Amino acid sequence: MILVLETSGSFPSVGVIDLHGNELYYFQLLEKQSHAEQLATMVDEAKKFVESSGGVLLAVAVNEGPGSYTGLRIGSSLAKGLCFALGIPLISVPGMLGTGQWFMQKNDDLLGVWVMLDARRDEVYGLFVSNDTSIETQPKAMILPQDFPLGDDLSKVGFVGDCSEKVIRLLQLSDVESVEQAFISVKHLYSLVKEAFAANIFSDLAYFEPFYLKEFQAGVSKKFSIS
Amino acid sequence: MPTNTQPIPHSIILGIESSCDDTAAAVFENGKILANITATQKVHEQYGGVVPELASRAHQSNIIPVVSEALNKAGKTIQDIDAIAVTQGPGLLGSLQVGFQFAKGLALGANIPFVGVNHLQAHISALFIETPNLQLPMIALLVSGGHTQLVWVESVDSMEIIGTTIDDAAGEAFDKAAKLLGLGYPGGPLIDKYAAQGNAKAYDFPDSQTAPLDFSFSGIKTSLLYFLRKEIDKNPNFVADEIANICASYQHQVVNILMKRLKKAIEKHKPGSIGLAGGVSANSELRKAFILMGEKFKLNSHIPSFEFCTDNAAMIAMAGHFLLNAGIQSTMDAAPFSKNNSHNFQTRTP
Ligand SMILES: Nc1ncnc2c1ncn2[C@@H]1O[C@H](COP(=O)(O)OP(=O)(O)OP(=O)(O)O)[C@@H](O)[C@H]1O
Repeated sequence: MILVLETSGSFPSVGVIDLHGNELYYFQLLEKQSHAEQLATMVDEAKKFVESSGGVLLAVAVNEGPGSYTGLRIGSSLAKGLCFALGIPLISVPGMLGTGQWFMQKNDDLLGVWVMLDARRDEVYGLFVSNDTSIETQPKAMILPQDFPLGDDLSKVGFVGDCSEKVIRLLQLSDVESVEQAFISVKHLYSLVKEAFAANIFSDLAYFEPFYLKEFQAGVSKKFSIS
Repeated sequence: MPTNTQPIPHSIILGIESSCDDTAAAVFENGKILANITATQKVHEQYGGVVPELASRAHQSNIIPVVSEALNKAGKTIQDIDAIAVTQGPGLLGSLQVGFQFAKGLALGANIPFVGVNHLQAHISALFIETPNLQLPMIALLVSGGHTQLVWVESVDSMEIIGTTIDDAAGEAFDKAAKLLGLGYPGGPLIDKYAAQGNAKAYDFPDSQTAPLDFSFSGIKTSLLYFLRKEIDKNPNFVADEIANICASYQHQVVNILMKRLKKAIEKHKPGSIGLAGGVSANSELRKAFILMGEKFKLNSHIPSFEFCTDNAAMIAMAGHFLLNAGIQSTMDAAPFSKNNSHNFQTRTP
């Protein structure tokens, strides 16, 4: 069995899957920003489920990001502790891609979907997931509307994410076909996790860091100086 | 909320510290520290101070190497560990989060208890590492980069803050002065070095009005700023010409501010001994003044070795040992805190 954690969004969720990617256990907490207090308790429950069903954890998987810095940090730190104590590998998967694939499966008439996660103000993290799986793209930090390719034909394109309303408003889109307000869930990660495990693609447990997307820029404080 | 459970005697404890910019781990067994490992983050030097987001990120890749090294050095594996002690606060939230959640993961994975430790309480617990039988009650003067406090130590698991800084910490007073003087970061040790060649009476710096046992360092810091501006106007090379005398005079007054309050605290509370804790205790003038103060009142004065004074995990393991022995553990829903919100440390529930 594989324990899967999603902590990049507002609501943490935890799942346990078998090696075929089937969900055996699932719990999502509908309490905002409760990761610091609740994630370990949720993992504790999931672990009890594994033990009571006679299973063995073979790996722990996390959403590598992008997403909330704090959420990602909590998820990966807890996962590292678990893996280190249990002597099992860590898997990290790109959660936004997972959400895109999950959405495309339900909407197979679409050509692609924009996965949008809320950043501050008029910013989002955006990833376009095409139904042509040979096309690979990377998540981008975007300011809306100027960073969005508005010239593109959007008639067969969906939008999914935790800020769909904001996206539609900022892009002034009136007639998009498929818009779904969906919080990222651990369920979106299962199939990527299953594939990674099958292909033995593990993260370096000691040096893994979440994918924050944005380089952090720090300034040198001039507040207290002679000149 | 901490829960009260059966004490865990004779345990092997793994201590973890990540409250600021040092990632640290230590292993404690039967009253002895078997390993005490600290990884200091270099990224902050170029910014002249700790950048919280960068500190959190660096902890993420330091934590496993540091914990592994501590276990190796102690000749233990994670399976040998009976309990985990981890800094819960105060400190930088993002940094604390890394160590704290990692500790929870370890505790869950290894099926062992964990206890969240107050970082300030741990600085004081460091005094017991080398001197287990201190004369209690003790007054501890805690002086670090982030804190300056007088603490009444009734017993290993019962402490109360009786005086505190109302603005900057003593370490900050040194570091900010060093920054003004164009010395590196952290500047405390450099001020100490230059001061050794200077005249402490060359210049006067003020003390501020506070409640009798409280401290204030923002006044002396600002007066240094205005003093330097004025002197540099007259002589652009003033700092270079006078660096030793400036450092000596400034350091002398910082130590004086600390000693005045300590003296009042001793007179008022009449302790059995006094202890010095925190990274600023490396300061040579402070050490001398502290020992003299003990002699004056005929009290034993205790100063831990330097490795137990700066942020380290041995003190976390030690504090954890005391808490666990008192039957205190944390539950999985415990979370880090950035500020010391109550006036009391986490202590044994009566
Ligand atoms: N010889 C010295 N003279 C004066 N100050 C010193 C000396 N050596 C170290 N310091 C100061 O000690 C501080 C570091 O201490 P420590 O590691 O205990 O603190 P911290 O980690 O910044 O804070 P905290 O423990 O409150 O979280 C720095 O401010 C440093 O300048």
